[in-house]
Amino acid sequence: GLKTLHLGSCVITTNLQGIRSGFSEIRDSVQAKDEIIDIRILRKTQFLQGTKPADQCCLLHHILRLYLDRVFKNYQPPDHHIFRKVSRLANSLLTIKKDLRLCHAHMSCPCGEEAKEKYSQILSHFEELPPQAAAVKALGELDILLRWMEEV
Amino acid sequence: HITEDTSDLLQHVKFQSSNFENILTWDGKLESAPDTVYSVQYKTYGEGEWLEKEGCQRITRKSCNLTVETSNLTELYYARVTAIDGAGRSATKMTNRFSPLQDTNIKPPDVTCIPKVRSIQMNVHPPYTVIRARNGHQLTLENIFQDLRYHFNLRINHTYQMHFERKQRKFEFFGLTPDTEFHGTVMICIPNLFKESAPYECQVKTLPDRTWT
Repeated sequence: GLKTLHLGSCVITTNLQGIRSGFSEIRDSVQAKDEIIDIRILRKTQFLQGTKPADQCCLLHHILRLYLDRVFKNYQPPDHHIFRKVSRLANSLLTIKKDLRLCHAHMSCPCGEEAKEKYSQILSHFEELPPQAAAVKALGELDILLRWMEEV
Repeated sequence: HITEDTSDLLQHVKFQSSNFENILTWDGKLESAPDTVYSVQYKTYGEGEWLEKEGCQRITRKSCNLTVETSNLTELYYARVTAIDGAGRSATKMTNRFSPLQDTNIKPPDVTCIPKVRSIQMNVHPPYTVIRARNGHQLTLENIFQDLRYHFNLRINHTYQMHFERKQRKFEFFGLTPDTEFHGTVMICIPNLFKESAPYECQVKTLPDRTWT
């Protein structure tokens, strides 16, 4: 069912289980396309859990924006089945991002130094790769992002 | 330059995992020549180096225990096998990305079913895993999966069964008929990761009622 994410003073409810179910259906085929297994974009040092609660909302907000603006847009699904699954995942993350934007509007999603530093590290890992390869890798790492959210 | 197709030497390289006991398995050629040897390497996703698994170099069996090497639950792993046959032909194949948390199967729980006159008590023994905390303490599945639930089930007759879902490991079905056979099952469920163990099953008979009526 639904899970409540406490991100500092920003509290949102989301269906992580549904998102994970959708991802698990395409996980092996998406990850198999990621041939650069020496590089990981979402690394433990940028863990959401290890981030100061007040900064968690901002960090997650920026990560979701990266996924929506540069992962789902650049990802070229190999077939219609994957396309439908990926579209549903994108819509789910868009919903979460909208909720975080509401928190932002209500001043409960501040961007401290820690959030900025961690996000810039993630972005630099992402930009080490060509856009298409980065999109494939980031999509394959959605299970890491989901676990970060589950453990918040 | 014609490269010879050696894919027949090696197939289905994958992890088989139960309660975090992670065994790498593979298949060789159907009529695999006895002199085909296999060597295993593993690596953590995101790191550069492939590491050789000691004890699984130039082996003839088709499995290798990588439990210790893949015991960090927050990491993701790959393994690969290289097969070399007697004629010197070789093939290398890699697993999918392996996530211990997502990919391990859950074994049925170990349960003691205790019949009484008008009830049956089911006690699940702590589901220990091979995973140890930093302090050396052996972790149970409950330590690892916060949303773990036990599904207790008792079939009363062909049409009626009782079913309860709980976090606790002990449950007692009350209001039963003395001296009667019942079929009980207990399963472990982890909703977040859509995991469910096979059921533990017990066939048990309530005690006869010897009280004077």
